[in-house]
Amino acid sequence: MKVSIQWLNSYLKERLSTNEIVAALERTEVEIEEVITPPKLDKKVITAKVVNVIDHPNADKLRLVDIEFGKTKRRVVCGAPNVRKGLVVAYAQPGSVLPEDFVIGEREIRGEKSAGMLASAKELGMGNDHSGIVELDPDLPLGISLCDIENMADIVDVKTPANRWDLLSVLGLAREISANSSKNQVVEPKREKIEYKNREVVKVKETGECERFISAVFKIDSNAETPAWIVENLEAAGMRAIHPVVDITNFVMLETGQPSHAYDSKKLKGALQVRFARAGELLSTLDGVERKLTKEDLVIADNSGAIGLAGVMGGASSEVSTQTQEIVLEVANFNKTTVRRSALRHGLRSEASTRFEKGLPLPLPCFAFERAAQLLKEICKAELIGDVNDQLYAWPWISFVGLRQRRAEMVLGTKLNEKEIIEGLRARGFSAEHFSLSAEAKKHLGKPYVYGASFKKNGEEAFDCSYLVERIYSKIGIAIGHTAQQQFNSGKPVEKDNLKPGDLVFYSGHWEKLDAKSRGDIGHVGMYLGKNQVIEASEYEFDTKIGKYIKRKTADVRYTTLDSYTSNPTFKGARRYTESFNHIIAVVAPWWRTDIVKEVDLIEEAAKILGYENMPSKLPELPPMETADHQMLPGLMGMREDLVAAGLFEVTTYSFVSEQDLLDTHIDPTSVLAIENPMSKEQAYLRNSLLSSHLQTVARNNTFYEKEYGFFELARIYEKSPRSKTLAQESWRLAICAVGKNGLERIKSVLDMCESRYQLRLAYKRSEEANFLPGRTATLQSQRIPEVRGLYGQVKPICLKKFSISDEIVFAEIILPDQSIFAESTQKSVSLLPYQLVSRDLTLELPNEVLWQNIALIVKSQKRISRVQFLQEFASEELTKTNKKRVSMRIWIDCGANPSQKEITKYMSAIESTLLADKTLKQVKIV
Amino acid sequence: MTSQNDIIKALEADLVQASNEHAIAQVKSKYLGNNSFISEQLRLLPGLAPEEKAQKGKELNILKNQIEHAITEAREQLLSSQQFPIKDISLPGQRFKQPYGHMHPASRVLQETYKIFSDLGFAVVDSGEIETDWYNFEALNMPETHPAREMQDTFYIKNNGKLDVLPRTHTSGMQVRFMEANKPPFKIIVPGRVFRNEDEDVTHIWAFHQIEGLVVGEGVSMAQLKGTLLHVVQGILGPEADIRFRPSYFPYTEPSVELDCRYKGQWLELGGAGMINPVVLQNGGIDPEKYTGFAFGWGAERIAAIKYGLDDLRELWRPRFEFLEQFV
Repeated sequence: MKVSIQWLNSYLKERLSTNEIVAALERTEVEIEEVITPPKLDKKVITAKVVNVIDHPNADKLRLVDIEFGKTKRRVVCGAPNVRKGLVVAYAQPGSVLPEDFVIGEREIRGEKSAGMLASAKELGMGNDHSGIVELDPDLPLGISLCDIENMADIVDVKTPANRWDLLSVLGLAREISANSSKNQVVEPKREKIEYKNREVVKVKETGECERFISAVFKIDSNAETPAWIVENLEAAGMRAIHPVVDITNFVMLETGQPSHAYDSKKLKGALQVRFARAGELLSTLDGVERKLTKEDLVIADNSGAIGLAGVMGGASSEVSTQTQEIVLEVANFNKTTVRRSALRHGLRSEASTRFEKGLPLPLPCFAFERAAQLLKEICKAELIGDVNDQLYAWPWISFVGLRQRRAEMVLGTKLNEKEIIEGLRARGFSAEHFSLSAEAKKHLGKPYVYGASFKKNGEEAFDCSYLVERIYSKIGIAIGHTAQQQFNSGKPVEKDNLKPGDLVFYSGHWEKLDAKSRGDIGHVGMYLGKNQVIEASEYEFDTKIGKYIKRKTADVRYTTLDSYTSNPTFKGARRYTESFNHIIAVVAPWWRTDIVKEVDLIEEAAKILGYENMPSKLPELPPMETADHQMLPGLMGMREDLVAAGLFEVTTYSFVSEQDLLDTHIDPTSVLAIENPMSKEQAYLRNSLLSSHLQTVARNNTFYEKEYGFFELARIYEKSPRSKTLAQESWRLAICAVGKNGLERIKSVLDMCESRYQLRLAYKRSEEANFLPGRTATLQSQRIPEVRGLYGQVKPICLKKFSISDEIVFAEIILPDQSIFAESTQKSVSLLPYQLVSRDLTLELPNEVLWQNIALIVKSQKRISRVQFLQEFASEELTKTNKKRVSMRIWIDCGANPSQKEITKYMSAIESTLLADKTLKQVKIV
Repeated sequence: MTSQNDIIKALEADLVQASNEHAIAQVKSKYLGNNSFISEQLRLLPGLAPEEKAQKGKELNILKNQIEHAITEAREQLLSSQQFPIKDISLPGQRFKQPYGHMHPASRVLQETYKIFSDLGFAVVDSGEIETDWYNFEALNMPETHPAREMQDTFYIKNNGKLDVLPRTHTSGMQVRFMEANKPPFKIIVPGRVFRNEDEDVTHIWAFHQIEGLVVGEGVSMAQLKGTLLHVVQGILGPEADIRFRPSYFPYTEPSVELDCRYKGQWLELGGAGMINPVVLQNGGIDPEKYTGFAFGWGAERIAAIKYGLDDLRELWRPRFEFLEQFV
């Protein structure tokens, strides 16, 4: 919301500078989005007073204006329609330069000299108003430069929190500013005194949706014009001036936070109604759109049908116009949820709906109506026709809350000063006082006993037994129930020997008013005040001598003794509702603070009163957490470091993909989770693989990054799991992508690193995959943790083409199921042998498809073999033709100390014969 | 018999001639090898009378030591006088270059964050990215009708028209989940991806990494929240950084504050924080009269933007390697 500093200041007893206002607002939940300051004006633009206005002899629309400031007099020619005697104006002296380098000179206009000019807001760069000259505050001193009058045209743009309807009003902001600047006071706007009637002139069919409806008919002067100060404030807030009546309702909405609506009464057909729309009912709203309504839309209607979408926007058919002579003014309260849903349904978030959505309090319509009536009278010469009818369908509750000082100190972690808190609350419009149980009780002594008394009926003028104790507890925000039976049931039992002040004492009592059916066990309650004293509201008392209840002469609130309860044969026990009444502040929230309901709301107020800058800084005194179960994320972070050390880039890509991405990587869109409300195509599905995201990444870098490189991402993927409450089975994935030549080797070296780092013992198997080249693709699985599995391979050129990638791409994706990967190694170290191993080289010739992994496994499984090292792979043209390759390796054999040549040969030939005999190696030859 | 002095002289003359290791080895073999004078003499020793044997042995041993010493000296001489041709030591180390990769800036921030919180005794807790409406909103005191829901634009998962499952809009969804599964006291951070249905521009991305903090225990206070955040912000942004609280509103905390940090002389918005709303504790099965707690949250990308002076957040989620290359 945009508000001019001037407007805010108009509600403050002491005017504040922009900086002071911003500083005050920064101590509240209001967020300053921007302070808009117009360009600095030339010093030569000064204040002056119009002392005389005469017609220009040679021009119809021009006038000769005499102005003065101090003892100086000047004459200027002016064409503004609003120039008149007594006005304080902005006078641009000759030689002054206005925005956009507009130089003011002394010149002749139609034969009359003009010493400079009187400027409009637009000419001064203070707004768009060019309809007339600026009308300044008549109290300003004359002859001073406008640029020295601080904040002339500053505007603050504020964001207000969802729980504070009151801050979405200029008056509400002024209240907060006042509370947060030293010794200021709010000046409430002028309001008419209204005598309300409550005739059902409006047929409110949905009283649950519309808890208050104030309406009245006014005759207005159709020639009235909206005064400049209203126009300026509306424009500062980004609204247009439309019609004086509409402008007033808009102004009152901005000022008080209460939207209202004016109908041209001559255009109405019969009485107003508030009801739900009929399905398909049509309504042309003020924005010129015809809307089809649903049964969930609350409307204002007359005999012709819907004439307004309640709380959202009025209808075109009853719109006020320049011909309007009589209006019906509506100031009502509508259900916040109904309004919000209607506004969303029709894509029509209006200024009004934004306010209703927050939930407006029931006293607000009166305040706003009285203000609107005053402005209508002042500006439109409005005369009330008939009565003002206030139809109220709910009780306007006010909030009593107790603030336990010790609790607040514990929550905030600092000592509080009770006096400071009470004063701070009062400055914010709260009523607040130190709560004293005995003083509170004493206030009610002697008030009459009325059976069934309640706040709605009797206020604090009469009580029955349960209402008296309920009332006392309500002062500190504790709800104990309406009846003595409820109070007995919900409190914490205490022994009669352990009573503390505030505990309630019960006996069965005298049953006259209730029939046997409605009786519970409990007939009477009183509140123990300490020192054998109890306060109660009673009609009967128990006469121990005769053992009977007798009617008291005067039934009222009185002190009695605890003994009179405990010695009563029907004494039922005692109940406790709070451990201590010490250091409690009893608070009543002002009607506009609908956000104050519970103690914690007051603790927050106390924090603001204290000021967060005055809050100390401490560290929690809790022991360190046991982290054994929380190793996944730290483990992944370690993996990140390893992969970066292995020379890879880390990337982060969005978790959602487009349908095209799925199709291009052979994923059936119906097999993955979809987004209900994506804003763009690329957000349509939740990915179950990182392949397409990584191909997109390569494509994005295709023309810019001409290097061979690899990158990785650690992210969760989502698989459909209809039985899960989140519909998804999520798992962590490591994806690695290599771009350019030697991708397989690049990725394999990273996999090898991971394998040894995390002791994965990976097993590779050749595999056929839709997106990968056959013969260059493998699935892999950890033999330590079988859930760790995945695949890697070279992406098919046909697949790459869909992403416009021309490089060679190798991609790997591995499931990281849980933190067991990162478990610290429990392996024992192995001591080195006291002698050297013997090494022998061996070269095999075998079919191409045989994996090195298998050869190594066979060799390693032989006795005495401690290590097999791959040396090289070789394929001559001739070999390639026959689909063969040669593989050389070095074999390390543990032959003990000082082995003989014979022994070594024996081990080697054992290996060779095993290799030759192995069927999985297929026609292997030893070279 | 040649005198011992003659032998030493001859040896020294031979060593002067020996200009490389190979020649020295030949010299060594000549004077100490099998056919050398010393070896010959040593072979004769067993035939001598005991007294003579002892005397001769002693002399031979001295000679042998002298020879060995001279050879060692000659070797050291040779090594220290060895000449190496001059080389350009500024040539790029291309052939043996060991490339180091590039960690994502947001990960870098998370890495530091984990470290700081771990040192404070926090656990770093993993959590799911798809959440139910209950945990993401309702349990956090945001019923369906709550206007605060609009503070976070939400994606929903297609579920036959029902809007009850969503990619989480914040990591706070984990608050009540963790409370249900653990007894206080606890202090954890929950980092992870969150999703907002917003238009993407220079300062907005529709997913980011949020870091959620949650501390619950007896006597946990807002002053402790302030102290913790000050410690952490200084840990991430340096000891010069400062923090301040501004009042704010979140349905799941009360009191609620905005967390600002001063970095390089400027106040910047960092995130939100506050004392856990008693309603939320209750929803997590924790007695709010006995226990209190605080929670906070901010974006890793936001911190990365502040720390590395990023102009365009989109670079973080639409990777371009020319850009990422600068982060080492």
